Parts: sequence; C-alpha cells; structure tokens
Amino acid sequence: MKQPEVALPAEVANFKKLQAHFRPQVIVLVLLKSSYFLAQIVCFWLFSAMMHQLIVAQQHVVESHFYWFGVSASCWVLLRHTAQNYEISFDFKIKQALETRIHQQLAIQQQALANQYSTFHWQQVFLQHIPAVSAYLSQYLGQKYLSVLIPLFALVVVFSENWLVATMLLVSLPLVPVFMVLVGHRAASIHRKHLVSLERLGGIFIDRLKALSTITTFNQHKEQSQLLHSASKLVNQQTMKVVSVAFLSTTVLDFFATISIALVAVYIGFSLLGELSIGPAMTLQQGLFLLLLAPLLFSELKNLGRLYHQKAEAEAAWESLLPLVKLVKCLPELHKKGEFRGINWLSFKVETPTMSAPMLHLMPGQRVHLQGPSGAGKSSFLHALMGFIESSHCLSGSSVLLGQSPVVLPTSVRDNLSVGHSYKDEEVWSALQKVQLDKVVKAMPLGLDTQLGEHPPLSGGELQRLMLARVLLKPADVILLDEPTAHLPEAQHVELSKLIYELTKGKTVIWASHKALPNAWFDLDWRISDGVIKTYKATIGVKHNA
Amino acid sequence: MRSPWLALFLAIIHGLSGLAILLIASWFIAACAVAGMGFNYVLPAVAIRGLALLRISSGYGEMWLSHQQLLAKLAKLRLTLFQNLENQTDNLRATETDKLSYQSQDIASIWVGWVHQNATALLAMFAMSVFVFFALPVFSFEWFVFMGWSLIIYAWLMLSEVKRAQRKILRRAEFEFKMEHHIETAPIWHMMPTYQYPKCHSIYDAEKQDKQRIEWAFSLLLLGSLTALLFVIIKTDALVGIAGIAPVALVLPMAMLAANDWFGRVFHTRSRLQDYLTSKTGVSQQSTTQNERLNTQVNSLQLIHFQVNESAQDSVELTLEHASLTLLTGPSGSGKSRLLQAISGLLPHRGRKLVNGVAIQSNTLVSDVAYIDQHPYCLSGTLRQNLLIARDDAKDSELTRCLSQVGLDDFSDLDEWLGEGGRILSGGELKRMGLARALLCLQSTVLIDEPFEALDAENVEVIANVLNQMKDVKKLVLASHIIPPNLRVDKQISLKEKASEVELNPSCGAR
Repeated sequence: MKQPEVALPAEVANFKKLQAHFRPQVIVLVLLKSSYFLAQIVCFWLFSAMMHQLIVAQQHVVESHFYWFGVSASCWVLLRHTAQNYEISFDFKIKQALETRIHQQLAIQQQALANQYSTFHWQQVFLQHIPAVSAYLSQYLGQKYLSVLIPLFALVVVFSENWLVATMLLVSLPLVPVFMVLVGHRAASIHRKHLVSLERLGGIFIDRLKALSTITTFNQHKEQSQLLHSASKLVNQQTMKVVSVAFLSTTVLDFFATISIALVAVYIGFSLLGELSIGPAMTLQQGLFLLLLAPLLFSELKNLGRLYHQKAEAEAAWESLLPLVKLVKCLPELHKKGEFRGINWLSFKVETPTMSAPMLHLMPGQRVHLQGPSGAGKSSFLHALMGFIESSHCLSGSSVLLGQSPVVLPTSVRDNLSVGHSYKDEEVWSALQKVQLDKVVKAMPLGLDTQLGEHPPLSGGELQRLMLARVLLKPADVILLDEPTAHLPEAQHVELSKLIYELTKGKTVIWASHKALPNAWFDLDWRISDGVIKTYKATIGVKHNA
Repeated sequence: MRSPWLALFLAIIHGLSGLAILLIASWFIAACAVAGMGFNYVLPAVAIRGLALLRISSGYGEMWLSHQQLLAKLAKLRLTLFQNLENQTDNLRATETDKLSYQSQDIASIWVGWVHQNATALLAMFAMSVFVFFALPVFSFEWFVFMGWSLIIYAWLMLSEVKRAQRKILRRAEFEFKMEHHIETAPIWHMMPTYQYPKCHSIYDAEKQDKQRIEWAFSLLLLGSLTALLFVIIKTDALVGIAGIAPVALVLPMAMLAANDWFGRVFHTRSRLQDYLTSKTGVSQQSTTQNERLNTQVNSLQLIHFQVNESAQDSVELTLEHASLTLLTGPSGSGKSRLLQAISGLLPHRGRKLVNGVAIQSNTLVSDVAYIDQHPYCLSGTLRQNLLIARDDAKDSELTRCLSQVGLDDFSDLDEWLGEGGRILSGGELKRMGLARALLCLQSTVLIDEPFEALDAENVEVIANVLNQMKDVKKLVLASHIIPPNLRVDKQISLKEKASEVELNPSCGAR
C-alpha cells in the first residue's frame, strides 16, 4: 500500500493526540495566514498615505509609496493564495492519511472489523466522517489561533496610531465573547427544554421512510402523512424558539463590528473637523488607516463563528473513527511465509472478547471439531487464529476460512473461484467436479465465463459448494470452517458436510459447528464455553449424527 | 409570510448597508479632513449611525425569516416526498433515507444559502456602477473593466458548477456501490492475493479541486481589484493640479480595496449551488413505483400455481374461503417470508392470484390482507402510535386489551415513547407488538411471519392460543418452523418438497 504524504502516528489514542500530531502543519498555516495579514496592513497604510496626499494635500503621490503598494499588494495576493492552497492540500492529506490507515486496519482485521458495521456506516466513514475530521483539523484549529492573534495584532497597530481609538476598541472587543456566551447559554437552555421532543420528532421523517412496508400493509399512508405534517410543524415551532435566541450571538458580533466602525468613523471625522479635541491630533492618513483596520478586529471572530459547527461534527465523527484507526498490534505470523508446523501454545489469550486456553496442541494433518453454544465465540476464536483480532498467538503458514454465508462476486464463475489468482481451466474444472457443480456450470450459457450477477441462479446449497471449490483451489495448510452448513436444511447439511469431510481428508482442519457431525471425522475436540477453550481427544466410534 | 421575497429584501438591505457604511464613512472622514467651517457634518454622521442600526436589525430579521421559511419549505418538501412514496412496498435502505434527508435540506436551503448572497453581491455591483456613472464619470472606464473582470470570474465559477455537479453524483454513487460490495466480500479478502479497496480518492480529489477553483477566483478578484485600484490612483494622480481632488474620489478605491469582502464572499456559496443541483437531480430520480391497490373486501383468496417472481421455489396451490388457520412450513431460506409477501402484494408474483374469483395483477396491494413482518418495525413514536398503525380509530381500551392478550401487560403507558430516543423493545417484545397489531387490524386475512420465533416456551403457548382464537374470525396464514402442540392448524403447506395443500381438519372447512 502506498504511504500517504502525511502519515498518522502509530498510536492515536484520542482526538487530542491526533490534533497534537498535526500541530506543525497548523502552525505553518497560521504563520502563512498571519503574514498575508501583515502584507494587507502594509497595503492599507500605503493606501491611506496616498489618499492623504491626493485629497488633503492635493499633491502627487510619493513615488516610492506607489511602488511599495504594488509590491505589498502582490505579496498580499501571493501569500493569500499560498496560505489557502496550503490549507486545501493539508485537508486533502489528512483525508488520505485517514483513508489509508483505515484500509490498513481492514487489511489486518478483515471480516472481523468489516462485519462489525453496516455497509451504510462504512460509506459514511469515508464520505462524511473523514471529511468532518479533516475540515476541523485543517480549518477550525488554525482559525482558533487566528481569531486571537489577528485582533491583537491589529489592536497593537491601532494603538501605535491612536491610543484613544485603540482603547475604544479594546473596551468593546472583550464584550463580544461575554455577550456571545450569555446568548449561547440562553439558547442552550431553551434547546434543552425542547431537546427530547426535537430529537424524537426530528427523526420521524427518516423513521417513517424505514417503515414504509409496514405503513403500506396496513394502508395507513395518509394517516402517517398527517402525523408527519403535524410533527414537523411542532418541530419547526420549537426550532424557531431556539434559533431566535441563537441568532442573537451572530447579531451581537454584527452589532459590535458595525457600531464600533460607525463610531470610529464619526469620531475620526469629528477629530479631523476639530470639533472634538479628545485624544491625539489626527490626519486623514491616520483616520483612513484606522477605519480600514477596525473591521479586521472582528472579521476573524466572524470566521470562527462560521466554522464553529465543525467542532461538534468532528467530535461526533471521531467517535466512529476511533475504533477504526486504533492500531491493532499486528500479528507478524499472519503474513510470514512459511509452513504450518502445528500448534503448541501455552496460555492462548484474546482480549476482546475475553477468551483463553491454557493449552492448545495441533499437529499438521489433524482435524479439530470446534464446539460451543451459539454466541460462545467460535467465530471470534477462528478470527483470532487467522490473526484478524488481537490475540497472543495465531496460525503460521497459509490458512483459509470458509464462513456461513456464501460470498458471491457479481462477476464470472471463473473470477468467483480464482478471486484474483490465475488458475488453469483444468484446475478450476477439477475443483468444480469435486464439489459436484461441474454439470451445473457446464449447463450455464457461457460455462466458466457466465456472469453470476447480483442474483446468482444457484440455490443456497449450490452456492456454498461453489465457496468450497474456491477454498479447495487455494493452496492452504490449514482450513478453518465456520459453520459452513448453518443456513442449510438438515438434508443438505448432511450432504455438504460429508462432501467437505471427503474433500479435506489429509488436511489440517478446524471445523466449528453446532449442528451435529460424526465424531469419527475428528482427531480432536475443542469446546468453548464461558470464554475458555478446553481440548479433548475425539472419542472415535461414537456418532452424534442421526 | 410564505413568500421568500421579504427575507431576500432584508438580506439585500443587510449587504448593501454594510458596503454603504464603509463607503460613506470613508467619504465622511475625507470630507471632514478637507472641509472648512461650513461643512454640514451632522447629516452624514447620523446617516452612518442609522445605517449601522439598519444593518444590524435587517441582519437579524433576515436570519430569522429565512430560517423560518427554510424550515417550512423543508417540511413541505419532505411531506411531498413521503406522499410520493405511497404504496411503496420496500422499506428504504439507510443510504436512501440519508440521501433523502440531506437532499431535501440542500434544496430547501438554496434561498438562504445562495440566492440571498448572490442577489446582494450582484445588486451591489449594479449600485456601484450607477454611483460611478453619475458621481465619478471620469473613472467609468476603470470601473467597468474591473466589473467585467469580476463578473467573468463569477460566471466562470458558477457555470462550471453545473457540469461538475452531474459528475459529482456519479462519482459518489459509484463509490457507494463499490464500497457496499467491498464490505460484503470481506469474508474472502484473505483469499485474494492482495488487499484492494475502492478508493475515495477521486471524491476527495474533486473536493480539493473545487476548493482550489474557489481560491483561484478569490485570488484573481483580489489581483483584479488591486490592479484596478493602482490605475485609479494613477489617473487621480494625473488630475492633481488640473482639477481639485474631491473627497468623493476616495469612494471608488475604497470599494475596490474591499471587493473581496462585498463581492468575493459569494464565491463560497458555490458549494451550496452544487449541493442544490445534485440534490435536485437526486430527488427527481427518486423512484416512485406506484403500486395499484385493491380495496375490496376479500371473501375468498385463491392461489393457483402461485410463486414469488424470480424464485426457484415450487409453486403453491391454496384456497382461503373461511376463517381458518393455514400453516406454511419449511426450512429457513426456503422462501416462506417472500411467499407471504407475494400473497399480500408486497412482492410481485407469477401464477394466478384470485380475489373473490377475480384475477389480480402482480404488484397489486390487497388492502384487506395484512402482512406481519418476521421482525415487526417499531415506529419511533408512542406506544399508542405504534398500535394505531394497524387501525387508526381503535379506542385506548381496545389497545390495552390487545396488549394484555399477547402478554405485554407491563406496557401500560400508551404515551410511552418507543424506538429511537425512547424505550427499545427486545426481539420477543417486538414480536408480540406485531401480534397485537394483527389482533387490532380490521383486515380479514392476516399473514404472520414466524410468530413463535424468539419467544420462550410459555409465551409460545400463549400466542398459539391467541392465534387459535383469531382464526375463528379471520383467515390466518402463518409461516413458521416452530409448530406449538396446542396450535389448531387447519391446513398445512410444506415448502420443503413439492408444495402441496394438505387438509388436516376437514371439519373446519364446513363451518
């Protein structure tokens, strides 16, 4: 797998750690953005100077001002473009890093991880959750610093020009967060009051879409539409109550930004007129410069407000990403080329789900019957043996696992059997013959090249035999069987079990089943109950099967 | 208040007053700097403060009003979407419900997210043009070149969107499909030579390009405005000494210096336009397979060579004329559920289905036949709503009686919220809720899928007795692989072998 340009740290225990990991990039971003602000302020100063010269002095502009303005304006454009593009590619790299990491995990944990979540959840992970986290890291974090740095910086510049205006702004600036917090609390308390009803009624639209067949069978669509109508009316009323207050926080910011600019403008004007004699004397250059600087004190706070929703979204998204990016201690044996030389393990352990075995022995060529009530962890045990979940030991050499439900690719029969390997036609046909599917496939219009599509024209038993043929084709030292007949009716179960037994003779087999199998087929008997695996010698001659 | 124009008007006031404050303020201080004693400073000072108040109040008004309209529009849109899905036989999958949910949001928010900003920016452009034309005709050329430049960037950015929006849907749909498939094949990944996965890369890359385009637009606008500004200064400089430079000459350079604020901000709304366009297409593509519905009472139901469409199962023969209990047996996976769904019309069928002797088309829902799912759906709603879905005019006393009949006595509060955000039912409770619905409903024919699964022995007996009573008044068809000894079965159909009707209790037919 190609490594992304920005790699994630090996251990991402929590969101803080992840943020800390990306701090250097965030700092570069903040520096870039600050530098373009600097260029912008220089531009403003030169602009004011030139305007003063033209309008008040009625003289030609100082030539050097003109050229320096050109230079600083170019710097402004260039630095801005660089900073924004840095942010975009930073965002892209985080997405790539997260995507790669999750697939690394999937490559290790395979079905043990993949099957924990619905396919919808997996789609959401890549389309929603990763972008939410990357947006937060690339935009919000930097903006948090900027919304403090830039106003302070602007304030220092204003102070150097005119202490009185600086003081005016300094007084109004801290009021902004104070009022925003007050408004926020009020909105939150109204929201809390309606929380339950907002959550419940807000979800009704989606809920009723999921219940369409129930609504249809009882012919209640009109009644449910009515219900939906009144529910959304209520939700909207309550939402409006919350947002009426919540919007005030934007208005507060708007209020201070607008009023302070208006007041600064009026003050500057009156000072210039000589109507006011408080504070230092002023020229148009200073006045104009101050007027241009004043909005900068609020604009970054506004941007932060615009991005504020990213925080909650990223935190929620991170909740779902955390179990996927946590690095499972990779089991080296899994990918080690080599042969299966048997199991001779002392104190085998699995952390989640808790499982242990004081002693496990298995010689190559031996056959194990793995038993235990459903839910006891037979599948998890097999996953641990395969190295899909974290455990103290796992199988060496190559092994293959056949599960309960057939997995069919919508491609040809051949592709379904070879799954990326290239086998000769004779090999494929011989495997099909072994599982007694050769006639079925020969009867298909294009033989091995027949497309199976989304709904394969095969019965459940036939599909499972196709899966068996796939397993037989793959040269593996150990064959693990996870209830391959669970979904089949009794007669087919007996038939397929026999077939599996015949075809895997002489191989190392671990066969989990809670349907009955003849004891004579096995050398060993492993039983899982209460998280402990106990081993017995299979008692030959006693048959459970009817 | 339904019309969105008032909110739009307020948005325009909000935007234009912001620009006006900046321009009037700069003119004002310039005028103050050069003015003699006769300058009337009161009026502009009042105007600036007045505009500030206007901006603040119109800002709040716009937010409030447009949000209210957004919510109303969203509600209406969703209701229409829901109504279009009448007689839909499939539950929507999570991907689809999620899509409908965010797509309706995208559509509803086009006014507040795009129209307001764009109308304001374009109007500001127009207002500036009028101002320059009358107040500063000397600079008309510079202004119109700058305006042309800005509008070209704007048009390029927004028009290129229409094309990209189409591709975005395809890309997303393709990824969703591939990902679903990828996860479904997880059990065989370890057999493949290497782990390969559907890359979300192309989607991330497209998003990156979108953002880069917007940044290019910003940079080009800034470049254009600063360059235009330099030319304006050169021209003004050339006029020094020839004509006096009035304070009003400051207005145009100021507007250009701040162009990214009052015009450039619309560039960010491009993604909203994209979302709107994609969603609009998405919602219009939403399949609305309208199924027919037959509303007559079912006195007799006859199935001849009946089977589920596209199933390999043998066909079924069945006649239901009187209240009775028919049991459908067979191993799991033999298609019992699908057969029941086909009988009720939820799935298409082959062969013949006769209601009161009249053949019924495939895909026709029969109102008088109710199907109780193997996993009954618990609506996110009160217990009462969950029961009234079966019969909307049932009295509370009837509801409680049905609940106690199926052994759900501890569910006494009919106003209790169930499902998401409330009490979550266990598998057995859900099963009995389904039976309570079966008891309540007025349908003469009720098809129940696996009524005894997930119940303990005691409850199996209770439910079997309830069904024994129910079969005296209704035509019941059960699909079950568990057959309680006390269940009084009239007919049994086994799906394992060649499906055939077996008369168990001939006396029943004569009733």
